[in-house]
Amino acid sequence: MSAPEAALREAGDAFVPQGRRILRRMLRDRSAVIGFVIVVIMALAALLAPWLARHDPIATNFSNRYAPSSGAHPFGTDNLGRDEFSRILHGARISLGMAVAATLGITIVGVTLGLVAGMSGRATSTVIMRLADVELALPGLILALVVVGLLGQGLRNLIITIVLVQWPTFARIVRGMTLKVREQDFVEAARSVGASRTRIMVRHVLPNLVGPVVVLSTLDMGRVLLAVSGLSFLGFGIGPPTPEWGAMLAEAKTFLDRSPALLIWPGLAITVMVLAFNLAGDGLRDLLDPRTVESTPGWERRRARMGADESVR
Amino acid sequence: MGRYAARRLLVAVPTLLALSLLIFALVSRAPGDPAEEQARRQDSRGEISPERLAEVRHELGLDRPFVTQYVSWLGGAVHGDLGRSFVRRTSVSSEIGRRIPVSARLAGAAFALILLLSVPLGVAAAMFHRHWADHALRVLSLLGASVPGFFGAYLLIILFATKLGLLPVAGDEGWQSLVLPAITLAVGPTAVVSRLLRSSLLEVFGEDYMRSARSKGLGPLTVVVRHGLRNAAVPLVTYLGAVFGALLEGAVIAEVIFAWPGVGRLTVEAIGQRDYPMIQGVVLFAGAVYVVMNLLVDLSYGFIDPRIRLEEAVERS
Repeated sequence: MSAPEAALREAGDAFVPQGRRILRRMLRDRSAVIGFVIVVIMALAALLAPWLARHDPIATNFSNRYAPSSGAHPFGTDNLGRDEFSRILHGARISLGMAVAATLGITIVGVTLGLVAGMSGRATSTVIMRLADVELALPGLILALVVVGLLGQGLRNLIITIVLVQWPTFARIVRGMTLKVREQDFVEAARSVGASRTRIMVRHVLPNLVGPVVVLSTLDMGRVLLAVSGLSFLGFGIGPPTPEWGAMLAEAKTFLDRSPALLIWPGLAITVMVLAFNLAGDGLRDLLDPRTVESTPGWERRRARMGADESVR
Repeated sequence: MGRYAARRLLVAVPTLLALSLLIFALVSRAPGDPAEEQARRQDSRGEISPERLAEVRHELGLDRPFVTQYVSWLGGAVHGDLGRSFVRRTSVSSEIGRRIPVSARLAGAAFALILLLSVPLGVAAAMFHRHWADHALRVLSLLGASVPGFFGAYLLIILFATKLGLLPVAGDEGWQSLVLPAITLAVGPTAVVSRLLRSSLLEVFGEDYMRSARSKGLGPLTVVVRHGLRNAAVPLVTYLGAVFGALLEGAVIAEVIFAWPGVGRLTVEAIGQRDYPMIQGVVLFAGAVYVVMNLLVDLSYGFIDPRIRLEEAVERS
């Protein structure tokens, strides 16, 4: 079991307390607040990009190439005279959009297969979990490279690839949680009044997984964004001239000597987002973890726990 | 122990077999016709006649049923024969064999760096617990774990090659060209391992043997290094498997960026050229390395700390 998986598993053990208490505790965890604020700001920036960006992200202007930062072009212009700031903003739509789509896909596939594996008989469960094991016997990026390489480049293929490669970790954890919930009295009660297996799965087990699954997905977002932009950097994402952070970075490497800033902006954007997702997911996990005591600050709690959960920090 | 090792080995074999089937199926079911692509590679001018296509298909053995193709490929693989590359026209296994030492050198250097950096960083963070130094190290490791390798690599290039002109950017010429790719590979794992070591050390600090060591008059650093580190390192072994995974993945990116002629770069090239036998070969090789590494890590728990209940480890895996 890898460390991120251990962290996710731990998150999965969490349950959901209610109401304003969560908000109060949340505001006390400074790094989580920073993470959430960044995520919200960037999400808004991505949604409002057409209104926030003052220039067309793909409009070229050959008389104004490699312009330095200025009032009109806060991040300068690129090798074709396109406004870098507008490209970063519009790039957020694609990069974050892909990350969200892929995470949703992973969540849906992972929860479904994990739930089914946890609730059905030995045969179905074995088939699903062995398939997961086999996929996990290969480092994710390498499997992803093969799949996307064979499918061909493009946004849709990139998202399909990431879902195909990353569902196993998710399904494993969901199966573990399902096995636990399945043994609870209320499930037994439902069974005794004659509820079908599907009904138990959907009405009784699934609602109990919602909290942990939200945490898992948030924790996964950083990893997914890294995968999306990494594959895109290697040339398997969207082609030019559409702005996408990983592809922008790959394009800028050709002009590294001329203008390193063109590479630094998209790189910084990816790093900040991954950082924010990690901080936010982490805070969310601490928040939903029953073992965390309300009065202890974040770092004090973390001290008490063993390593694996540090990995995503 | 012997029984446990045997059981773990028995699990590893079917996993590898299933992996080989997955890889073979993935590549054979890929969109596109390898025979047509191969015919074009040999003769890029003009139309390819159906006769020529059938001929190439037969040459490549693609006219046989899927199961026959898979079994003969697997049979060869067991004997170390992974077929011939479409593009290079050479043996896939000898090409991989040629590149293994090159990649191993990079991975080895990165691994050494990870140990060399994360141990002092982890010890410092634990000893200065709640001190500003601990917080500074936390921020650093957070950054280290969030910077994508392909961005970190270029930051290093900008700093050490473009601005300072100290180190070469590409190729494999002497130890200098090893420095930047090795750092690129080491950053992420170092960030994680140093944090893990810190928490593990903090946990160990509360143990009785630490107090005994302290009370017999040893200095704080001696106690940490001689008594703390050894015990704190045990849970970290669990994470070694993930470190190998990170090295395998990172090697692909680092080798492409720094034009390092290893297995990772071969993988990306083969995928770009749709060189099917090469793709199957390198991926099977990467899978085998990963499975064996994880097996060794699992087996090593028992040697390092006999208290760990191995049967439990089997249940969990």
